[in-house]
Amino acid sequence: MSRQRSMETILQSEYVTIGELVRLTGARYSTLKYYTEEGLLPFEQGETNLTRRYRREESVARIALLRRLRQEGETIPALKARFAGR
Amino acid sequence: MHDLTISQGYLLCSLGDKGTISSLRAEVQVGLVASGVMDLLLEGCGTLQQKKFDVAGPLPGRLEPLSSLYEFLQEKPRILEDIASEYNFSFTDRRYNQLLQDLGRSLVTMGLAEERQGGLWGNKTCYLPDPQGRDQVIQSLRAELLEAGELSDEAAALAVLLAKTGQLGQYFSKYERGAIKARIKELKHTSNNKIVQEMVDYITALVVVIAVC
Repeated sequence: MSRQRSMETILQSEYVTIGELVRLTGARYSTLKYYTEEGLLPFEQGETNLTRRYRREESVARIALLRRLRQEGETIPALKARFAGR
Repeated sequence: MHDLTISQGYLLCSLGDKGTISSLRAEVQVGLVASGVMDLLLEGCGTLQQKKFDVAGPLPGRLEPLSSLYEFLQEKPRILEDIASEYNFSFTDRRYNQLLQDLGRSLVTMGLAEERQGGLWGNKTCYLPDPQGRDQVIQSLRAELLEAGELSDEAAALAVLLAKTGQLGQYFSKYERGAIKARIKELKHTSNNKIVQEMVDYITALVVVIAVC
């Protein structure tokens, strides 16, 4: 185990964990997990113990966009179609 | 989101909707003191040897709300049971109330709680927790505990505290609780952090004592 990274450190990191994305965006863990499973939130699989890691800037921007589109009424299937392969 | 200490996170999750910790829930009150001790240990302000806490370093600024606890521990090395006895089983609750007030006000400063007067006679200070802030703590904990990968000391400590003081049920489903308890059990055997291991034993022992009383 190790100490939790401070927000200051997280904000300077290229990669973050899903837990850190929760802290950065205020989104619910279950939501981010669901977006990840549905391919809406790209991640990279770390080599050690297969931990998923996310590019911080792109992920935060993607979550903000997904949130806005959902508020505008876009459905999950529509979002999946929009972001397919992106 | 703020960088909360373990004790701030624990208090936020333990405060009821009326902004108090019920005096009938002694285990939750013990947990609050234990969370403060845990913060001090993890920040290197003290060491724990044979269940005796000894101050070993200065108090960092972010742990300012624990200054009364730190000063008490600075007086002399104390065994954990003595700390609980002085804080949780004294006649006046003076030390406990001071700790609660300092931690509560730190949450107010962060915008995570609102200070109000309440209680039966309206003379008790209450700290109404911000539901969104509390949810953030739980979501962050959920993300760490239910994902594969390394668990941070802070998440492990908070999970143990909530589990041993019977508070997981209000935030996690039965399925999640099963997974979390398995993770804590695993932690006890695999953790390379002796502090967390010892605190698991300490909190477990205290909760058993309270249950017997």
